[in-house]
Amino acid sequence: MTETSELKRPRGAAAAAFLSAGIGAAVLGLATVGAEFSQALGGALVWFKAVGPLSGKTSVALIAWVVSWVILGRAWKGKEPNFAGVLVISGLLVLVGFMFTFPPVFQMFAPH
Amino acid sequence: MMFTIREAWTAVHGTMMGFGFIMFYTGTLALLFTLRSRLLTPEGVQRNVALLKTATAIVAVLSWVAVFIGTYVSYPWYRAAPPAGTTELTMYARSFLLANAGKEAWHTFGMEWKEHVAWISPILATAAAAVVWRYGRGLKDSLVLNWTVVVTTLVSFAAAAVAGVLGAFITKTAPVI
Repeated sequence: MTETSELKRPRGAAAAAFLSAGIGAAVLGLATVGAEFSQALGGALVWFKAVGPLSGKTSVALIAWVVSWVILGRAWKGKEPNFAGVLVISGLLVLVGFMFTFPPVFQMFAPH
Repeated sequence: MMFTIREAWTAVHGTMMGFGFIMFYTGTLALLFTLRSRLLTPEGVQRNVALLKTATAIVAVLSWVAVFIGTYVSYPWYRAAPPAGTTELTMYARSFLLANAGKEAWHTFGMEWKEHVAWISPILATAAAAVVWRYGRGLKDSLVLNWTVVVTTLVSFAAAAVAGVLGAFITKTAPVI
């Protein structure tokens, strides 16, 4: 890797890294809410019995993160996407992840 | 003084990873902030970037190791259900917390938050490390990219800090022994 190549790289790879991280965080939040809302989904997310639904929630989030990173990385390879727009969307997705993994929020979705 | 196996794993998960987090996160932020300094010579920038790549990679690896140990080693001990009729619950941390009035929030709020939010940390730390490795010296000239990595690193640290602090208090209230 030369100095020049690092300095001139388009920001497509960075955009893919940040947006996919946001997708991973948001999917974790949505899976957490989903498992709370639906007992069936919560049961389906028990991928490792000793860990319970947390195993499925986190695995689904990791799969979404990696797959989206690969897809976006290929789509934006050598390109210069709207970086500011990508950052805003990524930030919102991370916020969704934080919000929906906060117990007072996701516990609101539990059936009464 | 002897550690049980469970206490040893808890120490690895909490103390060793926590120490590593604080040290290398701090290093990452210091290197990112100084990377744009006009005082740095080209050789200084080169050294700074090499250290930054090392620090971000270590942070990412440490955070993955921490969440996997926490989730797949310590957490099953924490959430293990006691056999029917068990009244001595100190070996069953979750049940112990839920059975004691005034302590149940350590599970319903503390552990519930910790076990989920912790996973956001390595995802963000890996994204930050990937960008640092990909762009290297380019971070010196791109203010937006540099600051995006700073913010991503800070948010990753915030998630780890929430998990770490809650973990310390929960372990103090109901140790996994």
